Amino acid sequence: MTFSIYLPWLCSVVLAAAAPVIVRRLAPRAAVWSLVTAAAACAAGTTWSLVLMAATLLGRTAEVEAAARARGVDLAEPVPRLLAGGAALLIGLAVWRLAQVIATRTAVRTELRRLCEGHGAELVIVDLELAHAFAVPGPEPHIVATRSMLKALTAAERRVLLEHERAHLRFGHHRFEAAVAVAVAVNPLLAPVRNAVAFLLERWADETAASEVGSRRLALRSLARAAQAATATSRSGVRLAFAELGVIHRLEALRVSPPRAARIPALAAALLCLVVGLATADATWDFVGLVSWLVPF
Amino acid sequence: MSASSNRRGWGALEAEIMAALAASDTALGAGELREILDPPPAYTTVLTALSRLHDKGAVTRDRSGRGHVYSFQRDEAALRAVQMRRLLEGGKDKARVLARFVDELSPEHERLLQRLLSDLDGP
Repeated sequence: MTFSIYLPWLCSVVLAAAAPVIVRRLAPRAAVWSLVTAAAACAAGTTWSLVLMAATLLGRTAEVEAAARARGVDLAEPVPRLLAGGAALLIGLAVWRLAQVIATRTAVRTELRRLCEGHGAELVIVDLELAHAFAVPGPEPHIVATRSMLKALTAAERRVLLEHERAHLRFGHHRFEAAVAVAVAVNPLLAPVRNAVAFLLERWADETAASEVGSRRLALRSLARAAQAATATSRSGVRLAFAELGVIHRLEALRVSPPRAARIPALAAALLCLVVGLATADATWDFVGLVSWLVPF
Repeated sequence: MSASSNRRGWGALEAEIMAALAASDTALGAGELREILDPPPAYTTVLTALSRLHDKGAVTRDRSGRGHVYSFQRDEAALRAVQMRRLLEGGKDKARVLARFVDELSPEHERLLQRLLSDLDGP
């Protein structure tokens, strides 16, 4: 327990460091599955390790200490008391961050459903001067596009845009996004994984759109023109550096042939899940051993 | 994907027609739409899609000479602009949930993009 309980944290750091590196080399679909699975395992493992650490504090209550003395049990302190206290605090923080994420997502979803409400067709048009397009998942999926985005593209380029958004809807990309958002809420160390997954989901949709319209060149041109329109119509000059890099890297990826699917990301994710799982099981087993004397047989 | 023999499918064609109508400043007839769409569908296919869209209330139809011209629902689109602006101004957290097609670029990347586009428009 003195070592295994920290292992999920080490795995999180490794995953967070690896995510930005592997992101540009892999076929998006497999990479998304691997990253999201690994992130979920790390988030679950670290959360459980916090629970175990905080639970060791219970061993320091007066009643337990009295009972231990009466039975002649030597009370071990598997986790430094300060760390255990910190773990309790972090659990509180994780719960709060999780509530924030759920509240924001619910609010946005409600507003988006209202935006598309009662609209029979798939495409929802917004007469906004800002060039913008996105997918709205739900029982009745929609694609929202602003007029200035549609005006900026030719008919063939608009097909790419529609196929791109349709790919987000068809493959349930919002579920991957939500899973990673939850994982990052309970374990902020995983934040780079969220950016990597966001990028890969766009790549996945780009590749799907390119194959649907049957031309990488057309997909590339559509994306480039859309990026140009978004920049020209945007009021705020400041954006996240990653988002900016995102479009350029997506364009570069469309210039070359599609990446071949490899088995390595899935194997690496499986290995990481195994390590987290074994470490968690080991820590839990040790914890049960520590408290088992409390349960009379 | 039941209509696999149809390269586009009805849903996709309807979305393309709506997008073309929204991109146009004037109302368009079925013939003009057929000219715009790429690849061009059969004239009757465009007519069928337009009447389906009209039944759904997704496009408006006006008489013009012997035929009809169509346009997107201008009022609804303007109303949605108010809603969407509110959503976009709701802060970074909210904006982040909207995974959009593209993000804006820095001036340096924009120049790069310009070069790329002129390459693509070339031979």
